[in-house]
Amino acid sequence: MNITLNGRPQEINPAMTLRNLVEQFCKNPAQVIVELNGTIIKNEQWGSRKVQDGDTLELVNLVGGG
Amino acid sequence: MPLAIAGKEFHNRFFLGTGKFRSKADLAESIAASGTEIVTVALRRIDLEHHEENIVEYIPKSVTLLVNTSGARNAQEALRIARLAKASGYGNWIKIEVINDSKYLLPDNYETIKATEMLVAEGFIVLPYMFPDLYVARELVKAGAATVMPLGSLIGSHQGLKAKEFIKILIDEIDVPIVVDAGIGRPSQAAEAMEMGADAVLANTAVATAGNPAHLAQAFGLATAAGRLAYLSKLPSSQSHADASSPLTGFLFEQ
Repeated sequence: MNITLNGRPQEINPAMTLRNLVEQFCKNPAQVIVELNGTIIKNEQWGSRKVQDGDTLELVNLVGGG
Repeated sequence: MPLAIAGKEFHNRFFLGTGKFRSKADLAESIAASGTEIVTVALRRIDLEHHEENIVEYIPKSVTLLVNTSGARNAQEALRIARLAKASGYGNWIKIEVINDSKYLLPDNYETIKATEMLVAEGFIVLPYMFPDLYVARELVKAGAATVMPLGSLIGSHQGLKAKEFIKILIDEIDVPIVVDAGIGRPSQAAEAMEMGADAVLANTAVATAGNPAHLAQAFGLATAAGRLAYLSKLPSSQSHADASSPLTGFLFEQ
């Protein structure tokens, strides 16, 4: 199954939840903000949500900036 | 008197941006050395290949985080970034930054007004970065901006107060705090902005890229405070002729 992850095509296992994906791709899962198809998904829902083929997933966090 | 923004009081009037520091240790030392109570951060996609350290761990809890909307090209994009920032648990204070031009990085005043209206309506504390134009500043205040942040000069240029005369007009006419942002490359420029009555100053690139960031951060903190004190002292204005500082009587050689 293919999704767009942070602007790039990414093949993923359909069985994975959002929490699994965040843990696989991010070093500090607690600091991650998840946006799925333009909607923010709260941390509490990560374990029960899965992505669909063609979804757009954004994993963002705070960084240095002026 | 402390600086009051949205009901919160700040005793230090130097804001520090957190971008471009060579190390997180440099950043932490610079925050401490400057005494800053407000720092800006940005929101970005996580780099999936190069895991970065979490910046928030290097910012003391007592310091207010101001999340900028850099990367936004219009009001709608700024709103999206602000909502994501809020979801991080830190982002109720937003520095609106809407930029379309990649060469000069000038803020888009029209979209900034729209973004301010939208964010205030959603309950954000909004500090918009803007090009110093009196009418725009008035619209921002009408839209509910907590401060107005006019640029001193181009972002990262270290040119200082190129827009000085126009910032002065905002200081005279606008009732919310005026925070001079962008282009401030030297502590003397921060002091100059404060002497003329700005309420606060923000710097980033100069500190982050200095040979010793913590020393320059400290110098900026001191210069900002010195400028404020000078402003409060009601500085005498300059004049075109000399005015002797020693008495003009009792000279030894008088006949």
